[in-house]
Amino acid sequence: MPLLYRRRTFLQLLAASGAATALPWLPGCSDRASGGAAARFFTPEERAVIEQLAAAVLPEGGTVGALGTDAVEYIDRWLAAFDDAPPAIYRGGPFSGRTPFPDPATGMPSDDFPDDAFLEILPPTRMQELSFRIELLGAASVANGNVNAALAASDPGAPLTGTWPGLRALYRQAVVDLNAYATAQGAPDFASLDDAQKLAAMSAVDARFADAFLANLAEGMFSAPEYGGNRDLAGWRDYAFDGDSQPLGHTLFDATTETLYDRPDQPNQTLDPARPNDGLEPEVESFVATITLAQGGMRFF
Amino acid sequence: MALPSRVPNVLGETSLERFDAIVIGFGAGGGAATRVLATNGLKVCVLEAGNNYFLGLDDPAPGNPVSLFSNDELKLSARELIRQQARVEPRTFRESEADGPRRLIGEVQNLPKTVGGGWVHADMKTPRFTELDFRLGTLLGDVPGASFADWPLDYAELEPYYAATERLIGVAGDASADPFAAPRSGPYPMPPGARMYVDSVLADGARKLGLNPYPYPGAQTTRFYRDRPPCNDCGFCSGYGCPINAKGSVAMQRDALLTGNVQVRYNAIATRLVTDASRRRVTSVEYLDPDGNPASVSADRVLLAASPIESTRLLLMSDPGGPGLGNSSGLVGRNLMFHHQTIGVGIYRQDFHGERGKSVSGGFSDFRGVPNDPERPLGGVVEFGTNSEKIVDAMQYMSLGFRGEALKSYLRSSPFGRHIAVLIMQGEDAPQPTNRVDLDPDVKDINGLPVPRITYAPHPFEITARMFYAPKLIALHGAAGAQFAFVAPNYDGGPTPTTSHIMGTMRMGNDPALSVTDRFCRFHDVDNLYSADGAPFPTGSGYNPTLTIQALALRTAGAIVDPLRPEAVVEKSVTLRGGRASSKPAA
Repeated sequence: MPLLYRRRTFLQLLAASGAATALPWLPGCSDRASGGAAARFFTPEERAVIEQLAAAVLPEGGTVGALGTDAVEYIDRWLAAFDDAPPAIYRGGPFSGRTPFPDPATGMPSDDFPDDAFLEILPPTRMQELSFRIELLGAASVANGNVNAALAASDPGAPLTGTWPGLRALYRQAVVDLNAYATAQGAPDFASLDDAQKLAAMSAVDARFADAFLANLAEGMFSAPEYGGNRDLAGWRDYAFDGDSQPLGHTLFDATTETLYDRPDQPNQTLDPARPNDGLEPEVESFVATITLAQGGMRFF
Repeated sequence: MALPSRVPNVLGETSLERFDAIVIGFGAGGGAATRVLATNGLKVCVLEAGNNYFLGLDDPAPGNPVSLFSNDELKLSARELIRQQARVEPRTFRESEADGPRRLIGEVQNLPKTVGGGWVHADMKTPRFTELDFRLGTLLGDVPGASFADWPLDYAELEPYYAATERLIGVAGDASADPFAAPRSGPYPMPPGARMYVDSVLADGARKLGLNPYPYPGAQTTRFYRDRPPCNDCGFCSGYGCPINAKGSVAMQRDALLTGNVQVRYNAIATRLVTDASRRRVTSVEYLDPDGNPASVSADRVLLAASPIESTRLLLMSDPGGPGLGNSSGLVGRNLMFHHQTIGVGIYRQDFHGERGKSVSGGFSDFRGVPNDPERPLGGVVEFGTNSEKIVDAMQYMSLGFRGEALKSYLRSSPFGRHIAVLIMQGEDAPQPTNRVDLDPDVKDINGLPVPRITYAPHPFEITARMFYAPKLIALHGAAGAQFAFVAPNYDGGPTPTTSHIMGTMRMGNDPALSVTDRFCRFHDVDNLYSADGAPFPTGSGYNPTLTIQALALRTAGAIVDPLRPEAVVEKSVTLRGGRASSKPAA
């Protein structure tokens, strides 16, 4: 029988494949204490405003919210990605070590856990680096980032039309504008606004900020914790998501009988009684009913 | 020299300097063609625009390759590790010339650019086409506005190549389960794997309506197979590279590399085919090296396998100001086809835990239909799916405007995540000359190269099928126990189709006035140029295309090795593994 999962760490693999010499960036870049990304972007004052807004979008209570998952920490690191080398855009693989290798004969979970390769960083290619320099630092930060500037008047939001300021500038300006909004409301500072006012402020500033911020919050809540958010896997736990499952996966393979069978704790083929199987919360259900009607669909019960 | 390569951005035999063939694109088609050429002793240089995430793909030692993919939604989905990124490589789109130069600059049917190509992000669904699919020109006759045509080969001729592909990439399936499937010369190499909970629920509903659901054939292992472990249903399948190589995404590529006859230059973006004065012979290919500097490579022949959109772009960039290389027919870039998906959404009370399983493990072919039967118009295969991505799920509710406690209710309930089941019909697109790829007259990518412009509008043919089958998708959800069911808006509400199934633009045929490539996918106009991706398809069928892309590419490469006996070449090649290549010199 072939060896199923040879236990080799990422760096051992590189050495074995000869790639270590070709990829000299790897050995020094794994900082397990910090997840390999040390830099932060926000000033303390900026971070406070962003955290206050994050708490309005996704408050704590019952299930975890933005602050409880460290989603703003995730954003703070992401905006500073190019302050580290290599930038932590893509983390390694194949395994995080959150599940063990299966026993090669029975398929059952073994007590052998792989190392966390998500702590490593895959260096970006030239094209990937250009793409994310534009995303974070703006179109003007790279050669040819405004190659289609002649079209900016007709299509200002399009790629390579030269007007994208970058996420860092967008966040920095948004903090200024959020504070100014609070002042205009007669409040002493942004923190003094109630949640509804904070959300109104978010809608009042550059719309590109809210688009990016909401996406970044979702990423910080539900991405692998090595990226800085999803603290203690609370995002996955509180919203019923298994997260990464390799190398164990969900189907176990008994090599003796060549039988595939479900993990008893996380079944694939059947209803999982541990999951919420009792429908939607009432206001969600009524919204889905509205959408169904609008699309010309059917409500069956 | 010995494998593996120790040179950055190169896989395979680094000492090769003279090549019998250049293959542009190391995806499904390019990988298949390269395998046949290399196992028959031809020296092949592959130019691949994307990166490589299979460490040791060219290392003969057991345990290789080691995947750098992972169950990481941020890396693969949000940050698009392997997809073409619109920020630096946008495309443009318009529905018709009435839109002016373009309607949109951004993402249009972007496929992965990576070693393995679209077969890396795919969840490996591998239905075959059927006998009918090769004869729609004859069966449908004249359809106004459309250009249906017979393939210059029939199912029986392609069948051995289907069988070879299934063996090489390792397909699991049940040969007796789909009553509409074409006849097979043998069983699938592996039995079907575990069926997702959502599959069992929707299959029950389908059976209540008298339909014939079956386990979807797919190139994920369900046994130990050619050094690959059985798929363990991690759930990160569609859109993700496989962390344990249970998917056959790069099986052909590895076999090819281990012959020692292949050198893959990756992060190498082809920019121009250079011809001799006659324009009937390609002499070299210019490309940008991994640092963005110009480079070139020469060979006796060239195979285009960059995907129909990028392959067309390259032909047009190779003839600035002209009609495009190989385009005396005027058909290069035309008859572009996607699959017109019709998506039946069901919302159920139970949780489908879509992050377990293969993304799709079941479906049915009843809605593929019959030519000219108004009671059963030609639609497409229907897949059973759900949602497996958590970041994507959260962003849906944010984009609907929910904030605060309301947003948290949606995250907990997850109506469009944990409670959703989808029926995806891969409706056949009528081929239309007006649906096409050309170069945008103004827009450039980050390298200063003109970007492809897609002009595309659906034909009444597929809209008719959509209208006919949509209510049946809703009824199926009702039979399966859904609380709500509706049909998602066209293109899932977006401005453009999003299937990632891309076919046509260099249709094959026997008449040089009516086709771009001949019956072995060689260009009528250019004697040493071949098409080895989905571009030669005259019609697109209603089944997932990649198995057929690979089968056709095997045949094309077999005909390059021996024009009189391509089937024998491929049959022999199947049994050859890395390191045991034929020593036969290149023809």
